[in-house]
Amino acid sequence: MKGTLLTYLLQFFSGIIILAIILMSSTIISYHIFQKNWINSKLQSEVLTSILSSLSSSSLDYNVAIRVGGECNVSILGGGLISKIGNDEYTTKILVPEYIQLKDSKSFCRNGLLYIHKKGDEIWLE
Amino acid sequence: MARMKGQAYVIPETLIDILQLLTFVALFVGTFLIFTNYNVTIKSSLEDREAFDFVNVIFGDRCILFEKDGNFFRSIFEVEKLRKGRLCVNQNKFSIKIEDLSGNVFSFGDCKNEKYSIPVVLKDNENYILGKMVICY
Repeated sequence: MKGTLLTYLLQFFSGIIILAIILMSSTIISYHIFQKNWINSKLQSEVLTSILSSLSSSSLDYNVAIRVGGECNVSILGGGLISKIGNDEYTTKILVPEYIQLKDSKSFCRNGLLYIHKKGDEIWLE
Repeated sequence: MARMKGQAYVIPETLIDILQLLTFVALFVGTFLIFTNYNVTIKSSLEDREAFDFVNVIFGDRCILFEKDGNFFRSIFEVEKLRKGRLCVNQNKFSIKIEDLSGNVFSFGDCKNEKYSIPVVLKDNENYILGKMVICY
């Protein structure tokens, strides 16, 4: 019948539109999740790099504890700081004087705390 | 044009279903975007942040700092060390210029685009002279 055919056509096209909207929204959602992880790992990496730079500019010894919560996959490797959050990681070069030695190390994060140690001319994570 | 029974009752119900679904999807996407749109403002701060880190490191750079009895005095630069023209920071992004009120100018790198200047003190023999450090990038 004419009415039934029109109904089927409408259902068919509306199905296509809904499918397109679902695909588009899931793409937007995944994009934002990736972007958020990227921005957060970038932010964490930058903040920790600044702290390391500040500590390196002092001649005193320090033991610093930073509360980072659950997101705690941070390491120093080859003079850079690598922060990994979710599916993304970000590396920042740490600006320190030449006489300061950045030891390759990884944070263990006991109780959500990241420890930075500076003793003499050496800096490392724990 | 005369309408049939199916057209009169089935189509409006289908349209309502479609509108309901569309509204639901739009609300879902809209709500999600509200919580994810906060994070665009931090993107352009990287260079400034690095510059501040660099300044901080320069303030504690033992190669140009005034030293007495094994103690380094932060942000007090020794003219004798500045004349040697060597910083202990290995980077090529930023350049600095240190000048004092008596006319001494010490440049490290080609300082073209002056961004920030910070007051410092220079020690020349027994005199402490007020000066400024300019950072360029």
